[in-house]
Amino acid sequence: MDCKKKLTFGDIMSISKEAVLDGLRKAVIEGDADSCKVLAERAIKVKIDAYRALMSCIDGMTVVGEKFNKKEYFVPELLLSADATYAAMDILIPNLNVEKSPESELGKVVIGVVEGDIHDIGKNLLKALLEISSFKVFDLGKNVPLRMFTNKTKETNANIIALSTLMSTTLPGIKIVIDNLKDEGIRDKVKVIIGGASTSKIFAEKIGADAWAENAFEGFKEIRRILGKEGKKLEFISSGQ
Amino acid sequence: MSLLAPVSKKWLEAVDKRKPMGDASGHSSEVPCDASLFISHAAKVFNISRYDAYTNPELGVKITLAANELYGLDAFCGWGHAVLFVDDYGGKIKWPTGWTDAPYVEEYLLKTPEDIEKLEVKDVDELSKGPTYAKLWKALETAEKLLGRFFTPWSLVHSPYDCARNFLGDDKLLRWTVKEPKLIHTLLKKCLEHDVNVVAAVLRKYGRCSIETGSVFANSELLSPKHCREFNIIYLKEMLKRVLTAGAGPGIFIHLCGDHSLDWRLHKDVQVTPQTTMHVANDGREPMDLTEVIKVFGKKCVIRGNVSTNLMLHGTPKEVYEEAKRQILAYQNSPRGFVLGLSCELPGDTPPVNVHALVKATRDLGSIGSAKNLR
Repeated sequence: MDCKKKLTFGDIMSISKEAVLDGLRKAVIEGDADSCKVLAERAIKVKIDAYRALMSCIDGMTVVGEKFNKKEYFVPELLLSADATYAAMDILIPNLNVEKSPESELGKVVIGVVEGDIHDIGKNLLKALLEISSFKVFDLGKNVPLRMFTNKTKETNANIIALSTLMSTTLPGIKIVIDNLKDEGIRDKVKVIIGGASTSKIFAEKIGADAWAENAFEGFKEIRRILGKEGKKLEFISSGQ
Repeated sequence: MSLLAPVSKKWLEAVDKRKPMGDASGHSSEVPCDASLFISHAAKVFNISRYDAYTNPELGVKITLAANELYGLDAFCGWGHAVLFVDDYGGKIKWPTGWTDAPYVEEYLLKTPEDIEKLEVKDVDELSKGPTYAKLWKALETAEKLLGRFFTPWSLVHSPYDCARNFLGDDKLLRWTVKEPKLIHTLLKKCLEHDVNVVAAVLRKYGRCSIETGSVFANSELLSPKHCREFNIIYLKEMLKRVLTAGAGPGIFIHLCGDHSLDWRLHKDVQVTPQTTMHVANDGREPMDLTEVIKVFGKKCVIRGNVSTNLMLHGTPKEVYEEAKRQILAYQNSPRGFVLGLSCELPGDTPPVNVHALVKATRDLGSIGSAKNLR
């Protein structure tokens, strides 16, 4: 990723529709938020469908994910690419030709880093991937008191809880959240996915979580899998395509 | 505070005897077991709050000493945390309020590129009189009183990249490492000067000190090897070179926290003494196979083991014993010595029987002489 290779404003204003879409994809891959913003504005100006433009950004994030899995990209590159996608989304989403309806959301996710831990990079990346992909995300932040996960789930009727922790000292908190869900009688209404450096598949199975993910990209895939959305097209809008 | 029963002189002498000296001829005939990074578990052992353990350094030193003695571990005492010196520069630390948390930065000192340019490194005098050293001096003085001739002053010094993280925050540091590299180099040069002054303060008071440092935030899960080298290794190397020249050492503990699968070898450029303990924690999620680590560092310094902290927390005593046994048998003949240790901080809720199993394994199996006879 070389952030110096930015498109100039003049470059962007003179390029074709196809080049705008390709430019968005490349700007996401390059983590170039400034170019993404200008390209998204250009897309709206030349009447490119906002949905198509968003899909170009998501194509870019898919490439970023592949590069991350191949260890060509690391966390800073992911953060910059997510920033670039957000920059485009800010312009494009208000221009989608149909309002986002609750039905268009793929799911509702309560996400947070459990009490005792403040390492939230992975959580923030997963949040970005989910939001970009039309999930409704309720981010409780870091060092979250354990009761807040159940309270927020009940309040929002979320169908996913995503719990993260880097530190092994805070692992017991994850199990307490699952126990709290049982006590509240809502365990069967919500899927629980856990992740973070100190977690493991074995630990997830042991405490009765529904899924475990090694990193944010895997977490995103797992959430789609457990909701049965794997392989389905992302649904930013309900018509017009 | 009248807290401790008298510390056993016999235990102190035994720990001292087992201490690996980095001497190829072998000072110790037994593998020591050191689970340092211990304060949260020590607090649990004493049933005192983490808040007290972290904000009261005299208490922190006393409980770590007593808990080490209780288990028969081969370490004395210590006090410190991961966000030292933040408040000296105007950042804000959040102290733990529960049973699982540790101190963290609530408000970062640096928010803008201009803040980095304007940051002025505090000199040795200023640091010595600041809030962090107010606590550290108490910790060191308490340890000196309790340990007598076994006391060695220590200086816990974050690598420049970890120091930069504490001043700037995770998100900005990671983004700007790629996007604003010149700015981050400016910050790292300042953090390097700060680190040198941190150690100089202890040297000025005691004339000697061991060093505890490492690579925490610059690791293979977050940064590419290229960035690890450019933004961490180069500065860690320079920092250690300067503090050793200033008279620190020879004891150095280099803790490579978390996943260092792609960057641990880069640390071979860092200056070590024979009394250095090199501690490589994980390869991905699993403990690093230290066979390769011993090939690279074994002739230069002592190697620390890395029994998983998850195993300590969730495993059975038998599982802990078996893993400790595996590591002892595999690594105890490292040329300059091997210390059985954990991958990171011992979790507060670790069952005491698992710590006992860890120590028991070293006593049952960790005789270097007998291992040599077996070959």
